Formats: sequence, structure tokens, C-alpha cells
Amino acid sequence: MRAVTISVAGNSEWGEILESRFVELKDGDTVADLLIRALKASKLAYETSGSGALFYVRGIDGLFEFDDGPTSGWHYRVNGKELGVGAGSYKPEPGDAIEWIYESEDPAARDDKGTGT
Amino acid sequence: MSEGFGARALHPVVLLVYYAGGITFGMLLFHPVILLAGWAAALAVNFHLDRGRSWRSWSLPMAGGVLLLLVLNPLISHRGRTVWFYLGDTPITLESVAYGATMALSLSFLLTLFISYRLLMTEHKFLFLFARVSPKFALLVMMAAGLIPRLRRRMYELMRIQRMRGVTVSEGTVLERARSGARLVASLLAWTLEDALQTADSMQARGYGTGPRSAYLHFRFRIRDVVTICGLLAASGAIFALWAGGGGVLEIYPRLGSLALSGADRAAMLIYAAFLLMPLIWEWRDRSKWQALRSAA
Amino acid sequence: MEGSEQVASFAFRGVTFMYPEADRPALSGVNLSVKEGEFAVLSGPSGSGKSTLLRLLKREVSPGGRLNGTILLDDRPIEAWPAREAAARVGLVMQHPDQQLVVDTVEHELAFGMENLGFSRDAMRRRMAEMAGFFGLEPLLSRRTDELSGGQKQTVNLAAVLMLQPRLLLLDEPLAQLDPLSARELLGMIRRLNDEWGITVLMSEHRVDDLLPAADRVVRLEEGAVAFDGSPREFAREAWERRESAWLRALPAVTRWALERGLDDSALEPAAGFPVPLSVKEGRQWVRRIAEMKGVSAAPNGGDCSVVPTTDRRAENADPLTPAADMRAADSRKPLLEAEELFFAYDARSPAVLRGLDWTVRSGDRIALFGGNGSGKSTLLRLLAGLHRPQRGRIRLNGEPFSRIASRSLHARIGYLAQNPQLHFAFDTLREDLTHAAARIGALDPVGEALRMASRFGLTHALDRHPHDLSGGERQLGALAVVLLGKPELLLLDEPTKGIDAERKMRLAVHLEDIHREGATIVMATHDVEFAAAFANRCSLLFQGEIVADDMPGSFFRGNLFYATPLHRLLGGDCSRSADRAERGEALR
Repeated sequence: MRAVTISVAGNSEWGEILESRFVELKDGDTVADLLIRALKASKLAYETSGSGALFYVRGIDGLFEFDDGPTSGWHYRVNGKELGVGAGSYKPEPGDAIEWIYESEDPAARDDKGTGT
Repeated sequence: MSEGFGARALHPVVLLVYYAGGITFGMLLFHPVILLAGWAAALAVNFHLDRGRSWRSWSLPMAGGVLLLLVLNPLISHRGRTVWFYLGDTPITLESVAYGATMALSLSFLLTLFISYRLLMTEHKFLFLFARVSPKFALLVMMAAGLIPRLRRRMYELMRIQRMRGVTVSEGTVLERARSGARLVASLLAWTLEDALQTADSMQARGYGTGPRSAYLHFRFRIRDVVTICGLLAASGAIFALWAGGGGVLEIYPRLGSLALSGADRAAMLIYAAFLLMPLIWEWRDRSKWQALRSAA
Repeated sequence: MEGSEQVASFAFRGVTFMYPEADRPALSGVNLSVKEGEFAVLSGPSGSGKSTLLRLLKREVSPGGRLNGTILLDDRPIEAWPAREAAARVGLVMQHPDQQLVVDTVEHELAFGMENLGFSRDAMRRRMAEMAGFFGLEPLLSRRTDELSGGQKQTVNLAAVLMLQPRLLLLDEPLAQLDPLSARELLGMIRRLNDEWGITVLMSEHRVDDLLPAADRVVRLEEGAVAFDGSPREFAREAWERRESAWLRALPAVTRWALERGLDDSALEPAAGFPVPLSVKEGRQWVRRIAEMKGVSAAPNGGDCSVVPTTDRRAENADPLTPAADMRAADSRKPLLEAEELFFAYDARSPAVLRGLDWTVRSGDRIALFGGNGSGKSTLLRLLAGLHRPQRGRIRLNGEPFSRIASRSLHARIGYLAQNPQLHFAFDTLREDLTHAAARIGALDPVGEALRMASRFGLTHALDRHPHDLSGGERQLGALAVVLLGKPELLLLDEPTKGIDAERKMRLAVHLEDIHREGATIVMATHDVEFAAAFANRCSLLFQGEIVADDMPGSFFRGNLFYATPLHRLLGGDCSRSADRAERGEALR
């Protein structure tokens, strides 16, 4: 089976929402598809808008953008790097590690929160 | 019972406090069980006033609104943390269901309250309150209330007669209809303005503008009004205190709290119900007097 | 109410008043003084300055313009009165009941004046109680004003004015828009106010039959000047001596009749104990005394029926059909409009206005339709005009049922003139309205047609005016012109003589006769018994939704107490024939 790992980390209050786990990688899956699959498997709630290139995550497990301030929101990294591409556009390779991180402040000014607290 | 008895006898200011409180707390006490109790109380009031007849005519739209919120909110909002099930890829959280339900209850409650408002707060009472605030506006409202039926009748007549000679909105091309419609409205307006001159004369002839006006409309503050207002204010104070302390509200977001009622919740509910049922005290009292008279006769 | 020193309630001293852009003064050199407690009637043709005079006495509604001379109220110049006192001292009731009402309920309307003057609530309640009691308004207090009848509205207006306890009551044609019954009731109330409360009354009216007997004083204005000022009987004499038709028309029919009878009999002088009668009752007494004097046996109705030359009410050439000829002709005329078993209600919850009505209008008829207030006269006309459809029953025009006639054609063939002529105008100038009407029936030269119709009714000068700027008479004729451009076979008129003076009535009668001569059948819903007597060839009575009487005017009026002209009432019974003739103006010796 081809798989990637996905983890979701919230802010200090929420802590780790989803510990790193394997998710099956199917043909044509984007980061967005994988996220949804992972969350559903763990019975987590989420709110997204748009699809394809316009896919956008507004909230996961009740933690929403702007909850921590005007620049807070959800970002994702593949293998430790922010790709700057919409999650609905990027198709990962097997073995990639995808991290979803909630940034309380603008990335330019943030501390490294990493996965898990 | 007619005006003069029961809840209908209450002074407009008392009614104002009642409804202001009812609505405010209906929005502050965001707990489905409390709102359910409130709704039941408001229904009881409605039932006592007119056997719920007015309410019945609203029941269908109300049910529609409730259903809409119940169904729509979970579909739109996914702010909760407890997922109930997935509709395709859409998570339905318990929190949004609870929120939708509470919103729906709040809406029906406020609507029911409003229906009883229309039964208790007559035009005169409302005008009385308004006149306190802005006497000119109250006069304007009374004048408008007199003018509108007259205008409606005149428009109807005008349209009927002009229809006979082809100036009508019910035949012809769209342009012709529009033009006719404009003609009719212009005609009505010019006519009404001319009439208004005569009305102005009539007003001035009776001294309008010669000095400050007094108000004919008046309601006496009686014992039952004093008692009711004290009760309402006391209840309001208690509810507010409980609410400020965190009681009476259900934690919904981000994670649904327990539906069990805390002590504060219970207290808020009971006091709120008492608040809402207060006008009924007079209904029961006066009605029992009537019964007593009838059985004595 | 005679006192050694009677205060003048008001006085005009050398008053000349000119409206801003007028070329003639509206009032010139008016000297008039009315004592407290007097009941004065203001008479005069339209435009003679009656309204102006009344309004100058009420400061709040006085017109702007140049005023020379002084107006005194209780011996004080009117400008010197403080605002609130002035408003309370003089009350004004105007012609149109609707426009004077300000707010929505009767109670508020009555309280309005007192509120304006800042009365305390207790004072208002007291006055309200008293006034509501006097006028019998208590059951109406919580009603909405727009639900009241015309008579009730005008009563409310009067009561509202009286709330301020004025000492002088001005009335500008207050009865004009009312049906005879309401008018009589209102007049009765005004008389009571004058008799019992001593309120000075100055009232201008056209309908003088009931008024002159009640009045203390008659003031006649002509072109802004006082042409007469004296007692009603002196007025009657003066009118007779002047022989001016306008003056004579201002007299009650009975007075006119009596004056004409006394024409060659010097023994019938007031000095000889025969005061000119002003009412039917006085008329009867007068006739009886003549009978006694002449030694003629006094028949119950007064005997001697030899009568009366001309009343110059009608144009010289107009020749009414004699009753006998009329009857013969009637049966031979074919039916134009047939109504069968008409049932109609305005909505499902209201009672039926018409209940199984059957009626036939014959071609060439001139019908007067009578019926009490609310009997359904207007409704019947509207149904016949095709404005509403009856829920049950059929109407046929020349044998064709309404349902089969295209509405456009129907509305052209049947013309309908509403009570309020204003409803017939939709454009900004009279010219446009007329041209539109002419174009609608496909005239080849609508503009020309419009001009011709305008000149026929004497409206050429008014063609470019806005319908609102027309006088009442011009408006009515203008609406009639609009309707007539459709070349209708049948003309339905809803109370065309409501609120108009004798002069205008005459002119209207002439126009209607012309229209009739051109071949149109005319049906008129009316309360105006005298007009009907002079004009109609058939009278019908509507009651409880059906036609209960349908006869020639003579037989219709005979023996009636209410639907009868004053002369019929005076000369009733055997002399009704004479009364008929008197009405129709034929000389008979």
C-alpha cells in the first residue's frame, strides 16, 4: 500500500488534534483529499470551502481561522516545508509527511511550534 | 375577557417592561431546556388570552422556520468538536445541531411572545408610550392610520373608473401599463395633496401650532400594575445575576457541554418562567371572580 | 335672547379684500354686524365672496391678500386676539366631511382641538362627556372615522369644533355633501346650538328650504358687496320686488309659490296679516287663511288650486312631455337595459346590497332613481355600468347579455359619471383627458373632437388647466365631457346635483336635455326631488335591494311625504296635478 503520514496540530489550547498516522495514498489524491480522509477516519469535524485549486481549510475540530487573532489560520507542510501551493492542487508522493499546523500569528513572526507540544 | 380585565388591563409601561425583559432574556439565556420552558410559558399566555387562535395561524410558518434552522445550521456550520455523522464529506457536529435547535427554540419563543404582544399591546397603549417619547410622531402615526384606508379606497375607486377608459395596469403592453400606473399614482398624489391643504386648514382652525400640546390618551397606574412591575423587576434582577454568573447558558462551542441543568440553570429557568407567566396571575384572578359571580347568581 | 345691550359677535367695517393676483376685489365695502346669538344665513351666487367672508372671520385660515377696513370680533380687532383664544372663540366647519378629519378614531378627533390648546386631561374628559352626550356620539367614539357615513362624519366635525366652546360658529356649506336626512339632522343640531346654547351662527348654504325658517337674518352677497341684509321675510319680499331669477331661486319653493300667487292680489299683503310663508307649515296656514278670506270652502289641503305661472327654472324652449303623451310613448319604447334577478354583495361576508332586483330601462327614458342612504343606488349604477359583476342575475344591453359584450365596447356604450367627478381625470390638463377619451373610441380627429366638446360645455378657457384647478362646476362638466366623448347610448349619473347651487342645476338640466335630445337614455341616482320632478319622466325607488316603486313623477310623488317636493306636500291630494304642473312650469288657468 502506498501511504503518507498526516498529523494535525492545533494551538496551545487544543494541543495535538491528530497524532501522526498513515493514510492510504490513492491515485490522484491531493493533500486536501488526504486530510479529509484522515479526519473522517478519526471522526473529527472540519470546515472547508472551495475545491480544487480554491480549496481552503477554515477550521479543524472546532479550531477556526481568526480564533487566535486576525492572522491566525491553518497551514500545511510537506516534509517540513511550506509549499505555498493550495492544498487542493498539490499531489504528494508516497512516504511524504504532511503536517497541518495552526498558526496563531503570521508565519513571518512565529515561533517554531512543531508537531505536538 | 375584554380590555379592563385580566392581562389586558395592564398599564402600557408594565407591558413594556414585560416584553423588554422577555425578549432580552430570551436572547441571553441560550439554553434549549430553558428556552423550551419559556416557550411553554409564552404559549400558556397566548392560550389564556385568546385560546391560542392567533398563535395557530402562525404555527405553520413557525414550524417551518424551526425545521429550517434545525436542518440548515448543521449543514452550514461545522464549528463543533463532536462529530455525529458524515453526510458525504460534510461533518454534522452535535454542537451545530444543538445550536440550531436552540436558535430554533429561541425563534419560536420570540415569535410566540410577539403574538401575545399584539394581543396585549393595543394601538392605543402603543401610541401612549410613543407619545411620551415623541408626541409629534404619535400624532403622525394617528394621522397616517386615518389616511391610509382613505387613500386605499380612493385608489381603488380611481383604478376602477379609469379602467373603463383604458388607463389601467391590467391591459396593454408593458410600457403602456407602466405609463398608466404612473398616471394613476400621480393623479392620486396630486389629489391627496390638495386634500391635505384642507386638512391643514382644519388642523389650524382648531388651534394646532398655538402652543405645546397635551395628551388626551392616558392610562392610570393601578395597584396591579405596581405589583406586577415590582415582580417583574425583582425577577429580572435575579435572572440577570444568575446569567452574569454564568448560569442559564448552555456551552455549545467549541465542545458541547452537558445538557444537565446546574443549580443556577434550574433557578434561572424557574424564575424566567415565573416572569413570563406573571400576566396570567390577573387572568386567573379575574376569571375566578367571573366564575364566582356566575355561580352565585 | 334679547338683552338691553347686545354685544356684537362680529362686525365688518368697510371691509374690502383682494386676492393677490385678482383684478377685482373679492369683497368690497362690506359693512356687516351680527349680534351675539343670532342665526344668520349667507346667501349669494358662486364667487360672490361668501367663503372669503367666512374665512376672514377665522384668522387661522384667512386667505392672504390685501385687506382694507376692520374686522371686529367681540368689539376687538381680530388681529389683536391671542392665538389660542382666537382659535377657540370661532369655530369653522367646511363642506367636505372627509378632508376635515385629521386622525383615525372619533375619540381622538374630538380630543384633537383640546390637545392643541393644551387642556388638562380631566378638562378634556369632561368636555368630551358633555359633547358626546349632546351629539349622541358615545356609541361612535371608538369607531374609525373612515367607516362613518357622510352625515356622521360631518357631525363629528361639528362636535370637534364645538369642543373648544366657540361663541361664533361659521359654516361653509356644511350640508352640501350630505343626503337630505343627514342634512336635516345636522341642521337640527345647529339650530339647537343656536337656540339652547346661544351660539352665534353664520352659515352659507344653497339648500335654503329648511334654513330660512330657522334664520334670524339673511345676508345676500353679490360680487363681493352686501346686496341685502335683513330678516328672511324681508328677503323674500325684496327678492320678489327685484324679480331677479337668481334671488328667487334662493327662496324656498313654497315662498316662491306663495309670492307668485299673491301677484295680483293686493289683499294678500303682509300688512293685511298675510306674512309670506317660509315653510310648508306656514304655507298651509297661509292657504287656509286665504280660503277663509275669500269665503271658499276650506278643503283639507287648502282648496283653491288655481295656480301659478312660470317658474323660470327651465329654458324657454324646453318642452316636457305631458303626462298622457308620455305614458303612450313609454310603452312603445323598446327596452335598452334589462336587469334580471340581480344579487350583489361586495364581499362574501357582507350582506347582499341587491337582492333579486328586476328593472328595465327603456330607450329614451329619463329616470330618477331614489333610495335612502345605503340603499344601494350607487351600487346598482355601478353594476349597470359594468364596473362590477353581479354574483347572480343577468344584465342585458339591447338584448345582449353583458358577458358577451367586450368591455371596451360596453364602457363606450354605457357612460358612467361618479359622484366625485375628480375620479374621471387622469392627466395633467383637461385637454389631454378629453383628447385621450376621443382617441380611445377611434375618432379621426381626437384633438378637434376634444375642442368641440369643450366648447359645448363652455370649458374652452379651462382646457389647459389642471383638473384640480377647475371650479366644482367646471370639474363636473369636464368629467361629463370626458364620458360623453365615448358617445354612450346610456348615461348613468350618480347624484349629479349633490352640493350644487340652483344656477348650476339649471345649467346641468339644460345640458342633460341636450344629451337626451341627441338620443341618449339617462338614469340618475339622486336625492334631489325637485330636480327629478322637473327633469325625469320616470321615478324609481330602491329599497332593501329591490325596486319597489316605478312610476311617472306625478303619481310617484302623489301622496308621498318624504319623496315629494315641498309644493307637493303643500298642495297634496287633489292638487297634486297642479303641483306637477307647477313643477313643470306650464301655465294653466
